[in-house]
This record gives sequence, C-alpha cells and structure tokens, in this order.
Amino acid sequence: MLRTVLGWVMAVGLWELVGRTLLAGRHLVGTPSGIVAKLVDNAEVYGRGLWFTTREAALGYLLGNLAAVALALLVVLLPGVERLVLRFALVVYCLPLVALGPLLRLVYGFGDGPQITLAAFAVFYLTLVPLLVGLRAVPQSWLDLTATYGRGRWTTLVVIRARASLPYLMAGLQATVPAAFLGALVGEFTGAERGVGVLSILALRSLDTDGLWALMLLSTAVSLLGYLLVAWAARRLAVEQPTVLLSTPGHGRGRSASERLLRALGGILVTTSVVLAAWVGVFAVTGLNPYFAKRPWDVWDWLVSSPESGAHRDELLTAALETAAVAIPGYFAGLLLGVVLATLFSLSPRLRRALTPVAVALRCVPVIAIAPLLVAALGRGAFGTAVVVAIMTFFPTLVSCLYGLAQLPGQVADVFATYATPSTRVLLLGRLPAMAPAFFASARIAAPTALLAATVAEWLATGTGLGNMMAVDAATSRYTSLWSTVVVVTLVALAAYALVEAVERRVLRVVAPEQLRW
Amino acid sequence: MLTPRFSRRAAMGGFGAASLAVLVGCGDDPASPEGKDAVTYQLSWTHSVQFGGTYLAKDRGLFEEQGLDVQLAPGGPNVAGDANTVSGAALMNISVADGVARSNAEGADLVIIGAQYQKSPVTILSLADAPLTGPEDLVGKRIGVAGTDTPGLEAFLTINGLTKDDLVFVPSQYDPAVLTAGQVDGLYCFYNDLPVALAVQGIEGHSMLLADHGYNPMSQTCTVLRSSLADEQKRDQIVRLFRGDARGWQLYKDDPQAAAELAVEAYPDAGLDLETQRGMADVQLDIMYSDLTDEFGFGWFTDEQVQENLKLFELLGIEGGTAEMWDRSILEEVYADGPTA
Repeated sequence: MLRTVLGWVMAVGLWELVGRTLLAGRHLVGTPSGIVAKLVDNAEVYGRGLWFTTREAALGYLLGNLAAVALALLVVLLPGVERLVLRFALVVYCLPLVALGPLLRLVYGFGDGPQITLAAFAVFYLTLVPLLVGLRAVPQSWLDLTATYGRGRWTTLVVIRARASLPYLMAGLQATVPAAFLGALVGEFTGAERGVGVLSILALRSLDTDGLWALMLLSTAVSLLGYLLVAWAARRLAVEQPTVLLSTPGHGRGRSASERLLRALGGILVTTSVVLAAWVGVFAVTGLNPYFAKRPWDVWDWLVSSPESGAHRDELLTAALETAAVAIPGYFAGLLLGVVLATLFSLSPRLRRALTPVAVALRCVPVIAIAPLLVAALGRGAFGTAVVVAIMTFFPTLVSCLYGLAQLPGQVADVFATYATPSTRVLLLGRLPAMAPAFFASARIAAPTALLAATVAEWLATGTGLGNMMAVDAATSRYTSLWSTVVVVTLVALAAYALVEAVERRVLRVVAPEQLRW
Repeated sequence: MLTPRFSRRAAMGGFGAASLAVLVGCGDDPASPEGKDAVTYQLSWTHSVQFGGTYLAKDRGLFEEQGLDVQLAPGGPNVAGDANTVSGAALMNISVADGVARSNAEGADLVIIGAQYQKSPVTILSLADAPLTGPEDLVGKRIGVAGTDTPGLEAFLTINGLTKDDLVFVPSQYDPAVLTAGQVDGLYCFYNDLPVALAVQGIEGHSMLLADHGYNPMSQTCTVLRSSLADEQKRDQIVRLFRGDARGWQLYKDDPQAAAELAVEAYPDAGLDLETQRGMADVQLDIMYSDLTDEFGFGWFTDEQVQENLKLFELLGIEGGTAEMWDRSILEEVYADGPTA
C-alpha cells in the first residue's frame, strides 16, 4: 500500500518536473500543479459541464445497451436474421461523425438529442457483438435436453442462454462506459450549449493546456468510476465457474462452394436493399433537405454514372489507401496490445490493478486532446496516426479478452490444479483457447473501429486520407462527395469485417464449434 | 451448478431507478413568449465575445423591441451553418463569402445581406522573436494550415506572386501548440482568436492580417435564403433581426468591455475566461469598424468589395459566386435615415 502511494507520488513529481523543464512553454502537456489550480478555479463551471456530459452519456449508454439487448433477443428468436441484423448494425456504427453530427442537429434542433444519439451509437454495437457470442456459449447437451422436453427457443433463451451470456454481456457493458462518454463529448461538437466537449473546444483553441488536461482527467475519472461500477456488478453476478462446453465440430453439414457463394451474394443483396430502403425512408420521414442529405442515387451519380465519376473514384481511392496505411497497422497493434495486456493482467492481479486506470484513461481521452501530444512526440507521419488508432482499438479487445480468459471451464481448471500445472501452461493450453470466441468478437468490432479512429485522427490532426477528405467536403459544402465517401468508408468497413469473420469461422470450427450454430 | 446468488428483482429495481434519475430533468425547449416571432440565428462558432454585439442586443432587449424572440444557436467544429439556413432550421447564419459561394455551387441559394467584418480575420501568426511580417517572409518557412484553409493560403500566395512550392505547408488544426512547440514557423488562424490566446498566456506573437496583403474574403457575413427575402413575412423578420443586431453592435463599438463581461456572464457553461474575452473584444474593433461603417452603417459593403470577392473566387476556383449572391436592400432599408440603425 505504502509502496503504491510512494510510486504515485514519484510519478506525479516526475511529471511536474518534466512539464516545468523539458516541455516548459511548449503547451503540450499540463503540469499537475497547473491542472489542480484550474480544477480549483473552475470547479463550478467544470462540475456543471461534467454533469451535463455525464447525463447525456448515461442516457446514451442506457438506450444503446437496451437496443443491443433487444437486437440480440431478436436474433436468438429468429436466427435467420442474424447476418442482416449484424450487418445493418455495422453500417449504423460506421456512419462517420463528420456527416452524422450536422445531420442529427438538423433532425433534433436544440438540446441534447445529438449527443445522446451519438453516445448510443458508440455503444450499441460494442455490446451487441459479444452478447451474441455469449448467447451461443452453451453446451449442446443442454439444448438437446430442452429439445427433449419439447421446449422451444424462448425456454432455451430464458433458462440456458441468458445465464451463459452474462459474462459476455458484462464485458460489453464495461467496455462501453468510456465509449458512451466519448460519444457524448464528441456529440457536443455539433453545436451544443454546454458540457465538457464545449469546454474542451475552447481550452484547445485558447492554448489552455492545463485546462484541457483538467477536463480530460475529469472525463477519465467519470468513465473509470462507471467502469469500476459495472465491474463490481459483474463480479456480483458472475457464475462461479464456467461449465465445459463440450460440443462436437459440425460435420456432414458443409455446403458446396457454389452454394456458399450464392448464399453470400444473397446476403449482400438483402443487406444492401435494407440499408438503401432505410436510407431513403429515414430521410423522407424526417424531411431532410436534399441539399445536405444526399440520397443513394446522388451517390451513384457521383461515383458511377456522371462523366467526372472516374476522377472522383481516383480521388477516393488515393485517400482510402492513405487511410488504410494507418488503419491496418493500427488495427493489428491495437489487437496485439489488447491480448497481451489481458494475458498479463490475468497472470498478475497487481499489474491489473495498477494499469487498469491507465487503460481506461487512454480510451477515454478524446483524440483531440492526445493527438497534438502524440503528433509532437511521434511526428506528423503515419506512425502517430497509427498509434492513435491502436489506442482507440485496444480497449474493447482488452476487456473482452479479460472476460474470455476467465471462461476456462471449472472442471478443466480442476484438472490443471490436480497436476499442479504452472500458470503459464494453463494459460497456453486452457485459457487462450477458451478466450477464442471473445477474442474474435473483439477482433470483429475492432475492424470498423480502427477505420473510424483513423478517419477521426485524420480529420482532427494530420489532414490526410478519407478523414480529411470528409472534413474538407463538409467545410466546402461538397455534400455529394461527403456522402459518397461515407458510403466508401462503410463498404471498406464491411469488407474488413467479413474478412475477420471468415478467419474466425475457420478457427472457431476447431476451438469452439458451438459458436457456429444456434 | 447454477445457483443464482443475486435477486433479479433487486437488480432490475436498481437499473430502473438509475435510468429514472437520468431521465428526470432532460430536454426543455423554452416556449416563445406571447406575440413575438421566434427566430433562430445560427452563429459560426461556440459562444464568445466574437458575437458580443449580438449578445448586447439580446441582453438589452433590442430584439424584443423588434418583436422578435431570438434563439442564438452556437456553432462548433462539426456544425454546418449554411446547411442549417438552407434547411430552414435557422433564419440567418454567420458565414464567410467563399463558404456561401461554395454552398451555392452545390445547389444552395443563399444571399449575403451584410458583412460584420470589414477585414477578413485570417492571419498568419508567428512568434515575436521570429516574426513573419510580410508575404516575402514566408519563403522557405513551415506554415501550419488546416486542410480546409489550404485553398485560401494558396490564393494569398498567388496574389502576392508566390507559389506553394516556395514554402512548406504543414497540415494542422487551429492548435497553437504546434507553433509554441516549434513544429511550424507560422500558423494560419484568426486574428481575434489565437493571437489573443497567446498574448493572455504571456507569449508574444506577431500577427500578419492577410487582408492587408490583398486577400480579403468577406467575413462574418449575415447570410439568408434568397427565398426568405422573397417571402414578405420572412423578409420583415430579417430586417428586424438585422436592425436589432446592428443596434447591439453599435453599443459594442462604444463599450466592447461590457460585451466581454456580458459574454462571460450570459454563457457560464461556455467556460470563457474574462481576460481573454476582454482582449478579443478590443482586438475585434480593428476589423469590424472602418471609415466605411462610420459613413454608411455597421455591416455595410460596397460594390467594389463584391467585385474584389468575385475575383478572389476565381482564384480559389469556386464556381458558385456571382454578384447576385449579395443583396444590399436590407442594409439600405435599415440605414435609410443615416448610418445609425
């Protein structure tokens, strides 16, 4: 205990020293004394801002997670719609802020609507994906048992699946706390009157580094508090020991290559029609002005049928390649970091306690605050952006994998214990395979997240790639180009997702066959 | 094996209570007072003394005098001001001429009815110990510029016989840290924004207004839909809105410090710093008021300014600009009896 306190005191002292000497006058890093002074001076203003943003985030968190649970229930009861629901959810998740923000403001007018909606959008997908994995994590024999009694999907859902999904749901609920806060904060950039987002725009622009850091620390504290609260609830609700998921690999059910291709094409066709119908329908119902809210045919014209479409496509391709060059390395780095940290945490609870706040902080701190610092430290090139991407990506992976590693069945753990197997070996032979479904769920989430993070970093910091293109389009009212870029970003995200999914199916067929069926 | 240790009801109860607590006290839209026309006035950025005259007008009841209940909508990094006017969400918005021309090129039909700034606030900020005082100083230097401002900087260079190869563009946002950290020699920003922030932080800077070197796009323009001007009722609202606003800016000219204090007081949640606001309020006088406004009234613009802007659009490659984009009839009506609204 004393050592921990001493460690913290030393760290803060060192921070102050570096801030006052090496980095003095550069306005990149706030000093602890300056931050404390800001917190004291502006206690009332910051307190109110924090309250507003927290309220928006909480409401968005609630709505987003409820939506995720509702969608998951729909999928369990109607397994046929799973792919459609997931892809549609992915499209909504992929909608870039630059396009979505002004649109939501137009729809909602004044008030907290856009902030709450953006928080909910940031949340629901992150919960939906692991929740579906959890609902599947049940032994085949139990399903056979309910079937023997002539019970249907509802009974299996209530009696078996709901409980099995609990750890995965909790992983989602925990990982989405900082996401909700960040969503609300960025939502305030769309012309809000108040909140931490509004305060940080001003702090950023007025060279108020200490103020910006104070705001970010407050945001982190709130997110951390929420995170720990959910973690505490998760521990109270946890099933004591996971059960063995004895399931035989599916055999004799393989489809021929042509059949698979047909099914894939059919799926794409259905998803595309549903998305297009929703696009046209929502815009028509909300009566959005076509000057800003472009329709699918405008995009088609821009990208395919107009005489200049070739030039437009070239421009988009160049930007997309720039973005891919930072998103792909960032994605793998983030994934690796998440898995490695989760593994280390599971081996050393002390490390876990010490580093959890840092991990949460990294996820909570908005890109706008760390981007200047990272860019100054790492240079304006692709490396800095890739690091931002990795930071935005690793956190859901870390949380998901932590829960995944705990999914080692109790009986298997007993066997290891009987033979006094060293913990590293338990990890290698037991925990890592048990983690596979959770890991792949987060890998699927991380693919679109990496792309979004890259565009946000490009928009706010480096001025390259698709992110910059969307920002310039928005600033110069080139709305057809903006919506076309949105479509391309979404398509790329969907493709990345499908790629990860294909790898996942190959691995899980061996490690966790129950994940491949209902 | 499965022994539920928790009470489901307790869990649900807690959840419900938490959600209720969050829901209470959300979403309140003030209803318009009796007999006043409710109109929305979209600002171009978050609240600050940049809109000080407008705050004075609201605070001193100058809009109410005109029979208006004005809602001021703040802007921000992710706000499409012109789009809000086009869609009818706002009656008038603060914009810039090149932005309006771009919007019109994309199918909007917006008209500029007044210009709050006589000089464009666009400036290149450098540190006082290595000041950039004229276009020729830029040669070989690293200039931080946001992606959206690159065309503007290029046009400025062309006007002054330079090309973009003569200097190094460093992509950045309006973040002065790149300047203080020594990553750039100059930063493309706004006269009443970062230079003041730098001064308040005790750092001496030098500001070169691009307007003093031939680049002067009309800025802080009052922008409305052409169809609103054709609609008798809306046109009348616009006249009243502009008149009330102009009266506020007349008060501002005499006492900018009062506007600074008001901005801090009226928007406690914007986190404004009084000292910075005071500095901004004074600095802004340089670009808002001139001999022209003394002679004709606040917000006035001339045909020469319009022609100058059209030439600039050509240089910027903007296609949506014609002289039709400006309409002085509101100004002429408001200042029919002299330069006082």
